[in-house]
Amino acid sequence: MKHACSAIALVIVSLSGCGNPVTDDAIEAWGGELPDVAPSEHHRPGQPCVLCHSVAGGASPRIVLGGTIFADQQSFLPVEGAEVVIYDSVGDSYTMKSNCIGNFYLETGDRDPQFPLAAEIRCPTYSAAGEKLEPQKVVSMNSYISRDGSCATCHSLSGTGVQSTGWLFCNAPEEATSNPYPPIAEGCAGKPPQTEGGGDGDGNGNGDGNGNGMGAAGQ
Amino acid sequence: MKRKALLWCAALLPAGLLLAAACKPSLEPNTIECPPFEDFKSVSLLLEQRCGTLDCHGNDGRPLRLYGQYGLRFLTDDDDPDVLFSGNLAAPTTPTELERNYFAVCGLEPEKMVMVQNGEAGPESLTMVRKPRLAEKHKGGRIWDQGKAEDDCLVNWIVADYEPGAMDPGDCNDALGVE
Repeated sequence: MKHACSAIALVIVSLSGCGNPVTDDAIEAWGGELPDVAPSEHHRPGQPCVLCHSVAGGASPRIVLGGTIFADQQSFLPVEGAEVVIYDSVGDSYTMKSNCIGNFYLETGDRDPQFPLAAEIRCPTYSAAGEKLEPQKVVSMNSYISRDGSCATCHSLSGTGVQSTGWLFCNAPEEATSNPYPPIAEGCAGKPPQTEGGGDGDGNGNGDGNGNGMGAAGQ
Repeated sequence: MKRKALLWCAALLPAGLLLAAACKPSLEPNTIECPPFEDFKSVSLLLEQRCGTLDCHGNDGRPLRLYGQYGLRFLTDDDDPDVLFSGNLAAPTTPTELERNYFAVCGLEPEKMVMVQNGEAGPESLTMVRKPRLAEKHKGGRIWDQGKAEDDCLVNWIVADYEPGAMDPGDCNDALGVE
């Protein structure tokens, strides 16, 4: 009996010592899942994916890089079908596609990109009438991604600031009517961000976003 | 017995106070020799571009904190936060940010920096020369190789074998891809 208790105590101590308190605190700060969105590739748009989907975070699948594409810096309307292309330091390139809530990610695999990375987004384009057009609009990052695969670490939902270039977006303000993005597809399992810069979303991501200048993908 | 203990305390008190005074750290500012500030701008631009992204040294929680237009911004009371934000190419690195970067570089290993300036040690003794070469463990990996334009830009500035304000900007310009 005494040995059994010791063994249980040892296991408890071992398990409690496995976490990374910094990561744990950062994850906790983001709060729980939305009640009507299950953990999936559609959850938590605009949040730093790799924080959880990493060795330290413990969530599955493990991902190298991930983020969310929004229409512009005024709203959290997600863009579906945008291609995110990264070029790594050994000359390989990788392409991801955003889903109906704007999320994209690259799972760890046999051949992971080597940092630093360069990145560009190939945004879909639409006519003013809302018809999808053939050409894509390419927006490139001006700086490298040095080590953090969570786009949202630097492209924060809180908008532009001394430590954030604002969230990732496709349209400059003046392009909102010439290249209008459609509302979230019916049946999409995700919900746009409801907090921070997004303010009160109307279900289509049209919140009162706090974007106050050039941001993210537009650079 | 009590009286004897009190006498011991009285005898030891001055010695304790003397010891405490001897251990008190000096709060006087230190000045160190560092390569010329006049020639630092092109080096800073290189460091901002290659090291100062928000997820690396452009982060206020990391040693060698670098400010600049591609990364962390240093906002003073006179600055407009709607203009001076990360990634705004319309707001280039400010003189204050340049000065902060200079402090970060010179203050990383101040004693060694003085030794390099005095010729008592080579530039490769500095961690900021070794890390980008990956001659020392670096979370960001190899940033450049020894002898490349980027490396020469940094090392030549550190060695400071020139009159202040007269450093040849060739390597830095090559590294930054400017004419």
